[in-house]
Amino acid sequence: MSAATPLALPAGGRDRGSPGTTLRLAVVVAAAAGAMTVGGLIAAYLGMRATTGTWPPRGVEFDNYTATTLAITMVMSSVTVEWTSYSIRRELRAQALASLGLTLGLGLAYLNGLWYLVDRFNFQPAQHAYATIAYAMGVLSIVNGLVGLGALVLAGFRLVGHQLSAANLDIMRATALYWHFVTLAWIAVYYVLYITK
Amino acid sequence: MTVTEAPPERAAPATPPPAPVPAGGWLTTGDHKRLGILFVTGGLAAAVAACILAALFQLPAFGDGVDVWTSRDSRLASANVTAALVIGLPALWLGLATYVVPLQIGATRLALPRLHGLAVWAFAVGGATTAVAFALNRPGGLNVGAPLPPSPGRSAGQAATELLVGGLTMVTLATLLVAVSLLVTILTRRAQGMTLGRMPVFAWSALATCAALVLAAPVFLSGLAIVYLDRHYGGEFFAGGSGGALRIWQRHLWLLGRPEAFLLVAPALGALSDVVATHTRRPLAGFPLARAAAVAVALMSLLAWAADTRALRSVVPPTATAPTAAVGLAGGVVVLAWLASLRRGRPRPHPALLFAAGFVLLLGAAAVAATLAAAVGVEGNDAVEFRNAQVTIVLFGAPLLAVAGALHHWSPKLWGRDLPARLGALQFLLLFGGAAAAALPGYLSGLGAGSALVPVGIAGNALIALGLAPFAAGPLLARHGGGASDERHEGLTLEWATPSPPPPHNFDSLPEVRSAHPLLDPRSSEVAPTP
Repeated sequence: MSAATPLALPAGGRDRGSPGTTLRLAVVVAAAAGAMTVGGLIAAYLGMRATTGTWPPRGVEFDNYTATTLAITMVMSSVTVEWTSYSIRRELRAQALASLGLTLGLGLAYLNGLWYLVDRFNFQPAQHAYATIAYAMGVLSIVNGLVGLGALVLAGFRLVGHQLSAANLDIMRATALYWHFVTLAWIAVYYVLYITK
Repeated sequence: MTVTEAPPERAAPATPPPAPVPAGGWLTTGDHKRLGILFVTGGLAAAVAACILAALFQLPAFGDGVDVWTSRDSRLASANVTAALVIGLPALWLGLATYVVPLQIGATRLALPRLHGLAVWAFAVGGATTAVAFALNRPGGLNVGAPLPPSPGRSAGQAATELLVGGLTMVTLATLLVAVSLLVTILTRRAQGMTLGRMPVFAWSALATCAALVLAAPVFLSGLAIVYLDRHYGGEFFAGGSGGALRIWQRHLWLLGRPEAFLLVAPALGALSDVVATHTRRPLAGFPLARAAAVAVALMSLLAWAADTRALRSVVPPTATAPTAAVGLAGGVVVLAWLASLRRGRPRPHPALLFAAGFVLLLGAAAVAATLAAAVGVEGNDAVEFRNAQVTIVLFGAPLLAVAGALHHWSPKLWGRDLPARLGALQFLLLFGGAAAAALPGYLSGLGAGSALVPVGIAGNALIALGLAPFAAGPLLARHGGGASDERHEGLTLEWATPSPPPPHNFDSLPEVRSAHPLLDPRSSEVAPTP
């Protein structure tokens, strides 16, 4: 046997990762990481609440109306983004465009409302521990929303350019998965900050 | 004798030399081999820097007796821990996994090459930012090795602290992205027939390590976000006088720090398992059990997070509790599998085996030292010195030996040829002796024998740096090594089924995998006589 000659094994075909599977799995893993980030902040919030006498501090005002509206908005947008996926799968182009437009509109409304909510906090980030953690949660929710909205815009461009179809749905599925994560993340933050306080 | 089965085909006798790399090639590359080499090079630089910092740190004029785990005042101590345990060793393991794992699973490329490339450079920028932060000023109390929350309010080292938070955020985010990329690559781009059950131990340990990192790193990021808000706006989350702040910081830091401490060891068990199997020329004894144990070390590392924070001052960092003992037990199972393989196989002298032996010896010595300390009852300042010595051995010396063994083992893949065996032996002496010497003063001081051996500790760190330096000249040194060594290694896993170094597309023909040791079957059929 020649020492330098490598063995050639029988050809086994290409490795099997399809772009769709890869993208969806990547989004699921990224969403898991995002959930841990939100979970870390919520854990810090609960930890501080458990060891602090007055929580939340006196004088903190809650805009429950806006926060609840945002939660409802996000649940609605999760429905419309699934409607988009369904429409593309059924080749219903008009419905797909309409539902994606609705999702984008709801997403923009969410971001606008969230910005308003954080901007209207009646405390500064450094005022007390509650303020710090509340700002951290608010900013993280905005970042999550921005990433999700960016993905929706990209999917929208592809839809307008006839690049999404029943056979090529993966980008839309991945985007929808991420958008659901944004919704769940906000509901978790909303529950902690506004329901249980 | 009648031969009824044709021997395996031969590959083309020679592959053309690789084309020269274009100027921007390394900057924009998505090739996992180049990204792996970039990571390894950066990790080596950080590890050498950590050794220099440790030597300086031990000089009496700089920081005699400073506890690297609790001090918030020593810039050198904090920089040393950060360079060694947050940047250096993780980069080395991520680099090796980036290079080797796709080859081991028969993938032609990474699943997310652009993301991976971005992460490599983000890691580099984050590491550089961290270095600048330490060079600029003393970061105000933010010590990744410390159980204490960062000191409150704005301080003289404000810019340095914010830079450090930024640098650590980038490094952690990059680590997370690489973990996501490797996880997705392993789950979606395996060759046909390469089921999860057929993956080599190193690929499995990489998979488990990445999964643990995906869960742990984001929590540390959320902790850093609070620190940034505190520091930048002068907040008081960690300074409100609440005992909860201490616990919150510990939990956030520990969810990265505690698993990561074990995650430095988990890939070592995986890599050295492949080393032992290859150089004993037989499948690893108890392969399924050893693989499960190596994975368990990574996954159970998350349990270490649940350890009581009061155990922080234990003499066996990270903590001496039941979950960490369970991690140690799983590691012991892997080592037993190595010993059984050495006994049953036909061991071939190779530097990588030396490093594996050194890894086991160092961990064994640390276990004996911990038992001694428990018997003698090490307390007070002595315990600080003793704990520092344990950190040096368990979290730095032993994993570094494993990294060196892995680099020698896979040097044909990384640099085209084996590194010289004599150099390997010399490096082993330098690294093993250096780690032992670096820890010796701490052990003796901890056991009440005084600290007269501090110069030995400084020399030990210098020896470790010297031992690592030759890897920087790997491509040059490989020219003087053995021949192309794929056949000589008689590897059992897929990375040995392609030329060294591998072509850009990894495999000229993708192998068909029928067992956990795909290269063993053709070689056996070639020599097996038929009735």
